[in-house]
Amino acid sequence: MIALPRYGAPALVLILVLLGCAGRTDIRVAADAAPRPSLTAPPIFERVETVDLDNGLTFVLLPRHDIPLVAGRILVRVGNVDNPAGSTGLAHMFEHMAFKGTDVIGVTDAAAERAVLDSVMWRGDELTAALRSGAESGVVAALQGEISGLEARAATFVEPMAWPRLYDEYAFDFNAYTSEDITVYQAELPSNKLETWMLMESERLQHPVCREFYSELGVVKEERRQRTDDDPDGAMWELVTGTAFSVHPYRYPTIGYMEDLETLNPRMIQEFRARYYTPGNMVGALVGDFDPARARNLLHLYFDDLVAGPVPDGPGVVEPEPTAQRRAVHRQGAERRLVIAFPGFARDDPRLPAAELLAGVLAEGNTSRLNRRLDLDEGMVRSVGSGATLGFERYPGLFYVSASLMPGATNEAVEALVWEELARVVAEPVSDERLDEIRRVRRREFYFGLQSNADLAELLVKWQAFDGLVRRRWRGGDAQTR
Amino acid sequence: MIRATIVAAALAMLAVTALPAEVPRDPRELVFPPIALTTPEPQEAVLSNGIRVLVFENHDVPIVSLAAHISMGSRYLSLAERPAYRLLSRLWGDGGIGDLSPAAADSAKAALGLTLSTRADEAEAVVEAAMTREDFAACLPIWRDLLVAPGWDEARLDRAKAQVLKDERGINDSPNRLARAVFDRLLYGPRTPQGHVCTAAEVEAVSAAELQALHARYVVPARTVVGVGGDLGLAEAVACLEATLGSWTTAGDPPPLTVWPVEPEPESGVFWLPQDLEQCHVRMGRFLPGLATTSPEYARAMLVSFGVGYSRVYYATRTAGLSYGSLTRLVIGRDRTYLEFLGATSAETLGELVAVARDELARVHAEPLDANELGAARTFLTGSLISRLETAGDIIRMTLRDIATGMPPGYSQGLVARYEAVTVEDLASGARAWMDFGPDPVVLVVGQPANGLADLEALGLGPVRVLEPIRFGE
Repeated sequence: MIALPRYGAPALVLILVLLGCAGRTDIRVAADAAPRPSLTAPPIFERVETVDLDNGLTFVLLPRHDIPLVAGRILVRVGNVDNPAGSTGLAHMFEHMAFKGTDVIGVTDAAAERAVLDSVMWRGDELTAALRSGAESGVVAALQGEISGLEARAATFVEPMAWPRLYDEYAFDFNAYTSEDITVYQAELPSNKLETWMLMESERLQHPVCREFYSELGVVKEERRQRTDDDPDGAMWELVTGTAFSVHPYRYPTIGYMEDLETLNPRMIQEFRARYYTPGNMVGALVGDFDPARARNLLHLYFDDLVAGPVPDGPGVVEPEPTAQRRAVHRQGAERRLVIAFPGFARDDPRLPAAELLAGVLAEGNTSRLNRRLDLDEGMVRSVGSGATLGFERYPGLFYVSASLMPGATNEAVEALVWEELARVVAEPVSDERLDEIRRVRRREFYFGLQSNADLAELLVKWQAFDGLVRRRWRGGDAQTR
Repeated sequence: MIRATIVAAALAMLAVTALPAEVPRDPRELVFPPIALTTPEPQEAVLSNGIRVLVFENHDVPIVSLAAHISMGSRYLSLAERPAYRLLSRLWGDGGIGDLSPAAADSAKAALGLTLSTRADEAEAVVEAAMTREDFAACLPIWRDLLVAPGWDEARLDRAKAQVLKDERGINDSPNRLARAVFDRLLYGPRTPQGHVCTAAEVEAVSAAELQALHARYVVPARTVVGVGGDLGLAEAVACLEATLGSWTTAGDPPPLTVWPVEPEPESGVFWLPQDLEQCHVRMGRFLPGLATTSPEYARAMLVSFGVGYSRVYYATRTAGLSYGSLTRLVIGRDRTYLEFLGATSAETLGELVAVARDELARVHAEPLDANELGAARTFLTGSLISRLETAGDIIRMTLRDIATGMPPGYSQGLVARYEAVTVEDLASGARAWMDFGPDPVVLVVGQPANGLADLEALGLGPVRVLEPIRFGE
């Protein structure tokens, strides 16, 4: 045994999550202000059309023939907020399981495999119950050993990773992500492989098999260790949301807490699918080099058979107005960071675009108020950031300011200056010129986001999922006032 | 005749839209029409001072991307020059532009909503601007001054130094970046562009005059190529650039670019950097002589890298539930290429992870890569290449980079055909030749293996040496 050398003393990252009603008053919409000129929709949007299937599934199509590629997206309105209590990480785990194949793809003897997987499911129920009841470690270990043996037996009927390997042959990129609000399945293919996208996506929606569950759970645990436990930034943001929200499920990490991950099981996956993966809860998008008439026919052919079901409700939890600041400190690594977060606005709140512009006023470029004060004048930060939602989409998110501190700067000093600048937004209103500068940046960013099939597909599928009408977003982007 | 045409058209339409009665459930049942995956080519002109200009028009969206790529880079610089180059990359655009002070330049950019960015890497420097079509004329002179006459303000230089050191210290907090930096130092050597991380003393010693001299020496018309992509026609783009940039000249020929010699072979063995982490990060590498981005075997090597490393190794380690994203790959450089395994796993499973990866490499002999795996690799590489040429800005960026880094004409565009030309036999023999770490790779482990040295020695890779604590940016 040798002594393990460690460098330095325990280092510090200080996170302050500050919540207060004061944030509400910082953002105002002047109802009587003159309307700003609207953004002009580029001609490309004239070609957008929607296909509504009888089962409730809607697709948005945008043909573009510049290069022979297509990008496809399937968005499911289910995310971390929809997990049952005590099962954080389930939505994300489901997304992983969606790459495990079907009763046709990835199996050599489906009937034999099903019999073993049924046993895995029952033992999984018992394991979850044992873990949740605090059963003796010997009982848990015995169940884990039994499940491990069953999965090994099931593996004899399985072609490992057959589904992604097969997709590899047709798509040059396919992936998925789960957020707090949604799950999105992404693929990009040569245009002659369009039908493959339809087939693969409809197959995994209709005939998935929950195989290799526990080995995949191992992968997800490694993902958590890599992205959260060993990453100061990941750990920090988990703490930010965990502190900022008191009851709303936005407070839970999408990857899941390790102790919750331990208790997930195949039956939960099955029930989750039955409840949330219904056609009315999904939207698709297809952008690229395809013939719309043929695409429409293929969509009906492959997706009409999805069985309609009730559109599930959301979590139904409303985050109460905070009554006091909440502060949290996390120590990990050597570099200091600071986050101050406020209650944000819902997606359809008319104040949200103003909040988005305010975030730009505060932290967009060297001339922004926080950059000028904290970085250029005081040399206290390496960078500052601000945003109006923190990426939350279905329910009110967080307006936040973040800072990465330079050595020697204290969190207290940086925090004090941030508060001063936030107060100055009210005392010294933003000029029309500055607001126009931010609008100009946002307009350019928006246009640059319309260039690739993948970006367009992502944009369209979200517009359709959240706003229900693609062109509606044009009304909001540019017509904000101080 | 008209009726015949209509009937023919209707039949053609039916042929296109006709669908099978039964829905296939396996993609292997589908048959695909052939497709030509071609890469778009920009148009070209030359300014009166000899600068090549590439233009790619796209009028879908009212935006313009503008870029200058300059042949320069850390691979051409001595160790002593690299801290200045690192700071040049940071300060370029932030230390003033032309006659404008840093603050005035910030205001000018903000007023136009203009994004200007600069990058100075191993093989080229880039000065880019992104703007709406209506702002092009106003933005062009600012971009020109940034390219030709950037400022090197002393106060902003001090700020840039602090930022660079802060960024280097950030490596210490990220297990992945830490493993990368330490491994590159072990593999390439600490004096090479890849293995060198600036120290505080090196950064502090750099002066504004050095940056100005470095810029003046390398950023000259003879080393610069310019591109315009987006909502602008060729004639207008060239006329604007001629008026703005055509008079830029420098006296005499620039000094030749000399590639800094590579270090000798690295010391092999297992190196352990203890860190208090949940996971262990592992890197394993070996140089492969004779393989580079310009070598005839580049396309084959890329297909092998995907087929074995990104596919077989990645899927095997995931199937075993050991890792979120471990893989093996060929890191093919302009000067050197190495085979690398990189992964992260729990402290208890380090040995298992490496064993699975090594088994997969050994399997290329018993189970050679097959036609399906070749197809998947081709699909990935070709599709990825073409998707990177999806926007006008991307098209000029890739072409400019090829020119600035001295690649053969049409290099990137020609890769599609080269991927197509590789056979299954080529792939199998390439895998056997390159996917082998041999007896003496360089291995780095960052973390706390559960069984300490026993885990590492069980890899059979030789004695383990414990590295002294490393702090970057100090």
